[in-house]
Amino acid sequence: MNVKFLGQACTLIETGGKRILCDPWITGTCNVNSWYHLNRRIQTRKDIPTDVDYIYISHEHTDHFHIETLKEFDRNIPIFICKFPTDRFYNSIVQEGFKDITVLDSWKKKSLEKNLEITIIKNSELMMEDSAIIIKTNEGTIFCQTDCGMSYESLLRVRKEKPDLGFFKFGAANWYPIVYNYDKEKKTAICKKRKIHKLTGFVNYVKAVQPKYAIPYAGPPIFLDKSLLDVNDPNSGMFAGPDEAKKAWEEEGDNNTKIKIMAPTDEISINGELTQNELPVFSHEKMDIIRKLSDEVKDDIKRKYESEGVASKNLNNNIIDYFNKIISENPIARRRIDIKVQFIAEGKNGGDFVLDFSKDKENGPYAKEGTTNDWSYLMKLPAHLIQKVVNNELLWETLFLSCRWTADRRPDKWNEHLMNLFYDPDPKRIQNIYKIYDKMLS
Amino acid sequence: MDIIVKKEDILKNKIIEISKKPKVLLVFNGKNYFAFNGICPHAKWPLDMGILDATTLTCVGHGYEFNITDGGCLNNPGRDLKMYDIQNYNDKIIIKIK
Repeated sequence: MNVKFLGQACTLIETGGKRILCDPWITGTCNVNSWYHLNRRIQTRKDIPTDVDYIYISHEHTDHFHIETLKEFDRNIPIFICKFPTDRFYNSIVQEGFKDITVLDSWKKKSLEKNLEITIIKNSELMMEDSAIIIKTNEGTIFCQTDCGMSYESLLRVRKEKPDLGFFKFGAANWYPIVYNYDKEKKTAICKKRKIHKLTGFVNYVKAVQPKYAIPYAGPPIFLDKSLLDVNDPNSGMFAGPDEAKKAWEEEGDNNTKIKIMAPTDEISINGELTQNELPVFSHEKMDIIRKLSDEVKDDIKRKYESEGVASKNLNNNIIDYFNKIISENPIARRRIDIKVQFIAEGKNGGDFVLDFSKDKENGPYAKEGTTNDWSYLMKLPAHLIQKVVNNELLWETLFLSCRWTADRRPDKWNEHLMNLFYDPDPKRIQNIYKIYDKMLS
Repeated sequence: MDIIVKKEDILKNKIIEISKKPKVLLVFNGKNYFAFNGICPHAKWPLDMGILDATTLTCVGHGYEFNITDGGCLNNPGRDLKMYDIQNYNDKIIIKIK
């Protein structure tokens, strides 16, 4: 039994002549042409192992559900996903033409072959959908956390499966504080804190599961657009390197688990033997390599951006209609969001909008053109990408993760209700969430 | 339900579990006592594993931070900890668990 690491959260597990591919993002960019693999070289289509028997996809974020990579696969390959509160993710896979999709309830074991069983585990976070997987064979057991935020209880349950290898997330994958209007000092301080929290999380995840060998993975991405290069800086940015995860374990971990560092295309056996195939993971020399890669892909990024198109002349009406609809359909969310948002569509055919989520505003219109001094959130996004969202071609979450936008907050507080509405404004989903939310916090 | 804890059993700036179901934690900062829900409202990690720095408690699962004096969640307002009333006597405190 062998695992080949293919970058970000992608693992190829080979056992008994069968191959299971998890979270295939192997080539190209994700999150609207923004994220690249942490790799010394840019991978191409040739790097995609299309001869696999099964694919598991943890969730809809595009560094896990990567359409450009998935295009290379036979549409009849069996795909496994977790049962989530909504069918949005399932429908997205169907839309890509895949015909054999199995949706598994969390923790329900599924036998794929004699001596090959998988268990998919749903995340414990309320407002987003994610999952992890256990792959069990007669040769051993592998746990892939992907990005999944899990409860401690779930992790102890994973421990009972006695994993030989565990792949654990160790880094942030979010737009905070990158896009916010902080001075450099404040941004660096927030990044440092977030980095420490994530490394602490890694250590505690591994301690809870106690695999024989743990591999830090599922990021970090690198940003190769010149305007975002600073985000990668190991001294001021929030993205830790796998070597930092190893160091954190050496300082705070225990003797139950050994940490192994893997670079894309490295392989590890179920006994923890590591085969380093190509180029090692980079850390202290990170910025030199990233600048070089950035030069290498700059024309490609330019081409990609140009192919994204422009916003239509109707964008302003589209934005107003879109927000009037989702806000009027979700009064339960609006009352909790309870702020005004200055929403700016930047670029050709863009404009300024005020989104009014005030809890007392029981009747629309909720969105109008113009500006206000009374905003609590300010969001400035590329008009042509907003166009894609209001046309249902792109998720807000994907656009936000791209970090190709800027924001400000007054006061400087996270409004999870606002971001939850952006995540998926389906009224049924929103209502179900608040039933649980109220119960949970009562 | 009332939980009685002798003051001599309470160490300063240490997180003490005083009830398992519901999980309730107690902290004495040298001046005041604070009793609060011991499960993180984000992803249900036990908060007695958390890191206490003055009055800020950080969950080691995903970095959620709480002000233990009022239960307020610092990085996601609203995801706050439930606080429990405390009656303070000479040699003991009584935590009122409803």
